[in-house]
Amino acid sequence: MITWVYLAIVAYVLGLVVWNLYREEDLGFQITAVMVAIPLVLRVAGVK
Amino acid sequence: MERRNRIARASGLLAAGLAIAAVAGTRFVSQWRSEPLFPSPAMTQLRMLSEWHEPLEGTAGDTEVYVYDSGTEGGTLLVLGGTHPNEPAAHVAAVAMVENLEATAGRVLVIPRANRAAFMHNDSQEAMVQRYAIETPHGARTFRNGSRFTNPVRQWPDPTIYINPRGEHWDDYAAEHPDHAEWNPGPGGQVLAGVDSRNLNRVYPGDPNGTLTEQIGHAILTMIREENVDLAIDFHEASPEYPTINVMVAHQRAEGIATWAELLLSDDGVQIATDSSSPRLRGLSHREWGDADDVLSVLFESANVSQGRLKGRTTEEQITEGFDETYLRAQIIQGQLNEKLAARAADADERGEEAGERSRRILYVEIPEEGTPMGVRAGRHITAAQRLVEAYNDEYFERPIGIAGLPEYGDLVRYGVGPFLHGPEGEPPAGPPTEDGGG
Repeated sequence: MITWVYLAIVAYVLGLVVWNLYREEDLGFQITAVMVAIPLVLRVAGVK
Repeated sequence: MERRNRIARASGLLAAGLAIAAVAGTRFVSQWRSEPLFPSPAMTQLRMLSEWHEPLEGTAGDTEVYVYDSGTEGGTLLVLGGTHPNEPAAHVAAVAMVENLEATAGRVLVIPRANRAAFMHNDSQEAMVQRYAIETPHGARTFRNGSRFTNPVRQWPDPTIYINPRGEHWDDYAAEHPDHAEWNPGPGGQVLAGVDSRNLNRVYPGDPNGTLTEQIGHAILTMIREENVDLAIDFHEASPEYPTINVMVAHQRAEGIATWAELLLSDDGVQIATDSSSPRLRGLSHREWGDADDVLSVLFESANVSQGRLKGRTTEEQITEGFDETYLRAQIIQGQLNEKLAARAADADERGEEAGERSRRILYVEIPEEGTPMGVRAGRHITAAQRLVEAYNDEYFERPIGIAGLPEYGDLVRYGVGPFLHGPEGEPPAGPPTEDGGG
């Protein structure tokens, strides 16, 4: 059960990061958002 | 910036990020696949651990049990490798047994990937190599270099502290399984670091309703009991700065045969000491197997620089050749330190003062300049297992165990373990080179 709660939180944070990626105008911040998103994607996919 | 351009750039970056995640994810997932093993023709049955604990079926904790039945009356030997997949010689020794073994009396069970779920990843932030190769005369065989702990993707979260199991779940289990009601799995209650909840050699006697690792522990112990295992050996490796190294740690009922095996091993040129399993340290195989059943339980340790804290950059060669320059330096520093301490103590003695510390150990094993290759480390395990079986047969001759087909220690030291493994496509082991250069 706690794993599902955890994954839901990670998915929510991932959603916020992607939303921020599309709102951000600065290229550096956009790249940072993508770098943050990568481990979150792997975590949501249950890979790492 | 125009909204359309911003969105296009974000989409491009997101696509690049997903591509990187896909590449990284593919590499991580490739660690989940077990490499093929090629059992010797003498294997009579391939079973799965879940046969002794059904809920494990289809999980990352289910693993192969290779059975060698001589067809004659006798005792049963169990050999475990891969309890800790970051201890490669323990795994390779069990693989070499699977691929060469013949049972000539009684039965032998071998589990080369005892904690398969710990082979599925390795320790993050440790720069560990994912795989290492062992050269055979037919080509290179690769093996997974895993972690000491079950993959957290398969068992999460860790508690702050882990208390080794024993308690009401055992009573519940006994109520559901009246035929197991007489089992006495020990008091449990060992307080450990939270991460040890994923360490197979801290969770025995296991828990049928517990975490994945506890269920693996329970399944192994159930197998020991239901298959009437007489002698059980758990292969391990340890870092050179760990005091329990190059030893056989024996349950008190197995101390006699372990000591006899130690003497037999000295004839082979293998220096190995017998250590007593502490009844106060719960959760370990040598303690819990022997307490919960009448099996004679022994754990072997060889020296492995690749898992030590003092090591330099981790490489495949560090694993296969057992060489690390930083450990050689540590040995030199230990020598210099002890010279100073001895000189200081001698001065104090002359003055009639308290001498204090006279020597200090940083390392508990000699670090040879040429390293301690896989052949030597796996050879120690294979040879010690053979001598322990000999010692067992001397004392328990009414239930004999016969094992044959295993490589000699001298050949393993001289030629490495490669000639005694199948080739990458399943070619039979070539054996030691002959004088004409053939295998």
